[in-house]
Amino acid sequence: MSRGRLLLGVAVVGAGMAWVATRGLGDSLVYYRTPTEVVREVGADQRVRLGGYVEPGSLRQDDEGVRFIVSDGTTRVTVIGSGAVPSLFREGQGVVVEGRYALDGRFRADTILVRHDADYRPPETPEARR
Amino acid sequence: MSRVGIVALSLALGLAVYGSIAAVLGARRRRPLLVESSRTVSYSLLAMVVAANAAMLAALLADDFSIRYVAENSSRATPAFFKVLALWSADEGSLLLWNLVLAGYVSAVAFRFRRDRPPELPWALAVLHGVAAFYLALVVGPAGPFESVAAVPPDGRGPLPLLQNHPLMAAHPPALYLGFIGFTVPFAFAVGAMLSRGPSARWLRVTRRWTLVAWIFLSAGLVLGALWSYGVLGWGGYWAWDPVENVALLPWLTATAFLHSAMLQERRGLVPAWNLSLIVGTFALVTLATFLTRGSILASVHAFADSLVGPMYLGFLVVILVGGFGLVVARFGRSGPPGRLDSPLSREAAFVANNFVLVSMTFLVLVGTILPLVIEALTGQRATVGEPYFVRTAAPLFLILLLFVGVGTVLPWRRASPAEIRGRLAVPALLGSAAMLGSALLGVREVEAVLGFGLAAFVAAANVSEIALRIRGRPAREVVRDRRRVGGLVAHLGIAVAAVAVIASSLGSEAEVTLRPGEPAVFAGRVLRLEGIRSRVEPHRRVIVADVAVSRHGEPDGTLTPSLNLYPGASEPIGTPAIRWSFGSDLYASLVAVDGSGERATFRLYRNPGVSWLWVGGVLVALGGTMAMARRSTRPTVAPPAPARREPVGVG
Repeated sequence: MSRGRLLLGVAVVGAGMAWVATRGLGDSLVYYRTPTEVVREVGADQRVRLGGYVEPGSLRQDDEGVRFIVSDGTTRVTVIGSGAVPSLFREGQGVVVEGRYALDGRFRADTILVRHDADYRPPETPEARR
Repeated sequence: MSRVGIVALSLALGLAVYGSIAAVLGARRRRPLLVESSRTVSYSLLAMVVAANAAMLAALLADDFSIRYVAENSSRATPAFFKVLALWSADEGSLLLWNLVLAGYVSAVAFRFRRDRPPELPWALAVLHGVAAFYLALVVGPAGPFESVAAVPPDGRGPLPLLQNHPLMAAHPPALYLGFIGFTVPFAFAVGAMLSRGPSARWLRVTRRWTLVAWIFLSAGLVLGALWSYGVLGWGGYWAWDPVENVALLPWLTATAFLHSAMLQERRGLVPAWNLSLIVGTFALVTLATFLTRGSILASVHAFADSLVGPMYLGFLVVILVGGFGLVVARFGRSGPPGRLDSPLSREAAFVANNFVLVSMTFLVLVGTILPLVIEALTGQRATVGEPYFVRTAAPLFLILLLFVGVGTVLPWRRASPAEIRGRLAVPALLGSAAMLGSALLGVREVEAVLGFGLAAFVAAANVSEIALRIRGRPAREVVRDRRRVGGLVAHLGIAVAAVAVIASSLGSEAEVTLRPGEPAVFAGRVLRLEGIRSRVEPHRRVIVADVAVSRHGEPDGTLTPSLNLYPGASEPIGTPAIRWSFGSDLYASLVAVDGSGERATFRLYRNPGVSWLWVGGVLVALGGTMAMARRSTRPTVAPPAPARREPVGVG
C-alpha cells in the first residue's frame, strides 16, 4: 500500500465516520437553556427548552400531571409536565423539558427528556459550593 | 495532619521533578548514575505519597474538620468504613488516591528493572516521573486536598449520601484507577522506544504484561461501575451512556484494539506506528477521562476557568497529543510502506478489522460525549446528546465486532484456505443460526436483538471449540504453556456472555405502582403484596423499609425490601433498590416515595432479563486476561495439533 492510498483510505474512513455520527445524532442532539438563563432572558409564552437537575424531593404527581423543580444550583424553576415521563426520569437526574414559561412563574412542559449527565453528582454546582 | 500532608506532597513533587530531569540528562549524556538515581528516587516518591494519603486517612478517622476536605466529605456519625472510602469520594481526595496508584506503578517499574536495563528505560523513567510531577502539581497547587477552613465546624457534612450507600464504592474507583493509571507504563515505554530509537517491537514485549494488568483492572473497574450503578442508583439499569461512563469506556476500547494489534507487530512486525498511536491515544483518553470527571467541566464549560485545574489538564492533554503523535510522525513519517497482509483470510486481517471497528466505536462515542462541550464552548448554547445516538451508532458496530471476534478466533496466522475456514466455522455458524431461530421463536421481535443473540452464540461456540481443541488430548504441561492463547479465548467467551446480557437486558419490562399496606400488584407473572412499611434508625441515617411479599402461582416466592435512606444534611432520601438476582430475570424494585403517614408507597418495578450474565462475563474477561499474562511460549507460530486437518468436530 502506498502512502497516497493510505491517506486516501484514512480520508474515506474519516468521512464515513463523520457521516455516521451526523446521521446518528439526529434528534439526539438537544439544545437547551439553564433556569438562570430562562428566568433572565425568556419572556412569557415563548417556547423554549429548559435543562437542569430535577431537584431531589420535589417530584409530585397531581391532577395537572407531574410537578417538579428544575435547578441549576442558583435558580429554581417549577415545572408542570403534561407529557409522558421517560423511564429513566428520576430525582437528582439531569433533565431537559420543552414548553413555555407561564406568567405565574411556572414552566409548563409538554415534553420531558432525560439529559445524560453525571447523574450522581451533587445537584449543586461548584459555584454554589464556594 | 494537614501540614504533614502538604509537606509530603511538596517533597514528592520535588522528587518527581528531580527524577524526570535526572533521567533526561542521564539518557542524553549517557550517565548511567543519573538514570540510576532517577530509578531509585521512585521509592522515596512512593513513600512521600503514601505519607500524604495516610495523613488524609488519619484526618478523616480523627474527624479533623479543620481540613476542608474532611469537613465536606465526612462527619462524626459516618461509619469508619465509609470514612476510609471518603478518601476517594470527592475530587481532591480521589486525586490523592490517583497519585498513590501512579507512584505505586512508578515504583513497580523501578523494582522490575532493578537489574535488566532496556535502552528505553531512561526515557520511560523521565515520562513516568513527568506524569507523576503533573498530578502532584495538581494536588500541591490548585486542587489542594489539605486546604484548611477558617472557622472549624463542629461537625462535617458527611460524604455524599449516594457514595456512602453501598460498599461497592470500596472496589470500583480503585479498580478503575489501577486500570487508567496503568496505561502510563506502556505509554512511557512507547515514548522511550521512539526517543531511544531501539528496535521498534521491543517496547511491546517489555510492557505487554503491564498493559494487560492495566486492561484487566480497567475491565474490572467498568464492570464494577456497572454493578454499582445497578445495585445503588435504583433506576433499573447499569449503563446510561452518561459522559462519566463513556470516558471510562473509551480507553478500554483503544486498549483492547492495542492488545490485538500488538500481536500483529510481535508476530509479524506489522503496524509499528499504529501500535504507538494506539497507546498514545489510550493514554490521552485516560487523561481526558480524569479531566472530564473532575474540574466540573461536565456541569458547564464556564465552570472550567474557575480554577487552575481545568487549564492545567487541558495543557497536559495537549502536551500528550502533540508530543506523542508528533514523535510517531517524526519517527515513522518517512518510513517505508507498512507491511502487507498475506491474505484477507488470516488472523492478521481479522485483527485489522477488529481494530477498525474498535477505533470507529471510540470515535463515535467520543463525538457524542464531547460534542455538548464543544458546542457550548464555541456558541455558548447548551446542548446534550441523548442515549439514542449512542445506541444507534455503537450497537451496529458492536454486532460487527462480535462477528470478527468469532471469525478471527478460528482463523490461522498468515493464510487459510476457504475450505478450511468453512470446516472450522460450520459448527459455530450452525449454533449461531440456531440461537437466532430460538430467540425469534421465544418471542424476541427486535432484529438487532435476534442478530446479536446469534452472533454471541457464534462467538461462544467458536471460542469454546478452540479451547476444547487446545485442552483435549494434550499433556497438562503443554496446556499450561499454552495458557496465553487460551486466556484470550476465555476473554472472548466473556465478551460473548456479556453481549447476551446486554442484549437480553434491553428486552425487560417495568411498571410503577402505588400500594397501600396489604394491597397486591401483578408484575412479571408474580403477585407483589405490600406487607408493611417500617422505619429503622442507624447512627448515620434513618431507613424506611417497605416489605413486599412476592408470590408466584399462589406459592410464596420470597420478599423484596427496597428502602429509602434519610441522611442528615441531605434534604432528599436516597433509595436502595431490592434485587432478586437470578440467571433468568432479575426482579428489581425501587421504593420511589412513601407518603408522610406511611399509608401508601410508590414503587418502580423492573424485570431485567439476563443482567446476571453481565457479571459472569466480566469475571470471564478478567480471568482470561489474567491467564493471558503468561509469557509468550518460545515455540514458533505453529498452531497445536494441526487443527487445519482435523475432522469437523461437534462441540456440545
